[in-house]
Amino acid sequence: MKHLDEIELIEFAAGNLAEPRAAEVREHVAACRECSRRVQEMGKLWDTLGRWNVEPAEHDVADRITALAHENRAESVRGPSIFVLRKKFLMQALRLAASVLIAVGLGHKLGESSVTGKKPQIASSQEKPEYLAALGLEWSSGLAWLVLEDNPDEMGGEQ
Amino acid sequence: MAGDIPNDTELMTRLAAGDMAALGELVQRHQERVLELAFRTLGKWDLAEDVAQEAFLRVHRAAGNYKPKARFTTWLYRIVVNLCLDEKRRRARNGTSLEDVTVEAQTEPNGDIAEKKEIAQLVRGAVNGLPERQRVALVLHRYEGLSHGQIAEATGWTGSAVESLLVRAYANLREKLSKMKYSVE
Repeated sequence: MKHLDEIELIEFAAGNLAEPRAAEVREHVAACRECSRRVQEMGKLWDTLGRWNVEPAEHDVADRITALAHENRAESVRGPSIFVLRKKFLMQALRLAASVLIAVGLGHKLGESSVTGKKPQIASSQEKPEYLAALGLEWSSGLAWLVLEDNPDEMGGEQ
Repeated sequence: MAGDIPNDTELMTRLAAGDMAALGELVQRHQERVLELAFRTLGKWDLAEDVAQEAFLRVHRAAGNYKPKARFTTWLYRIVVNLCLDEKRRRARNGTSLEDVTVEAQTEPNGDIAEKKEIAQLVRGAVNGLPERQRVALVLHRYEGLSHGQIAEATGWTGSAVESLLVRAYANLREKLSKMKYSVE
């Protein structure tokens, strides 16, 4: 068996290694002088570290926490702060403004054609685009370009 | 059943429903470990108290959204570790050191007690001198008894990163403490 890797050695010395692996390691350590020395050293370090004791009981913060939590709760019962309300209002206002802009833009485009009497030029060209001919397809609708990638007008202009 | 001690998840459910007594019980149950972890990580009791306070207030605020995916303590440790690391970074930015651990004067006439205190101070100094992540991993492993997996969950680091940090932390401590009067060799 090769030497123990460092992390396994730490866990073994700390007594954290589970059986049956712990038994295998014990057997190896008993037979391997190098690993035996390393385990001993790690065990001493583990014990030395354990000599740093702290006493958190002297620093009880339970009352502080409970008082602050009650305060926070009372605030949340009173309702959201003015800042939160203001933020909500701002978001609503932005949404409304965006809706108005979209509606005006669409209205302008649609109104432009009805006032000037100009029809959209989408059906002005009924010529069969080259790429449809190449594919052996028929140009069935004046609006078909809407679902295709290219505008037939542009295609015609290029011809 | 009446008389049963509620577990942490049940206390969180009660807290989410507005039962403030449940928060008090959680604090009583866990504050010592939280304070200990924060103190060992930050090295100062006043900072540890602030971290403990903020950690439990966050528990309170998050109670409504709490999903018991992991153990409550692992989740709580994660909050505490994050607060400690934030504090250390904040102090590093402001140029305020946390590493000025003062060794208290030995006034006890009893030599044994003085020696014990001295060893404790040496260990504390050695742990405080570790790089940030090594120190957090070591405190969670040696003093809080967390497994590698639990440390990974509490810190958000990978399992292999945790193992590597632990190996380096113990090696550094072995080297530091072996140079001191109370040799570990």
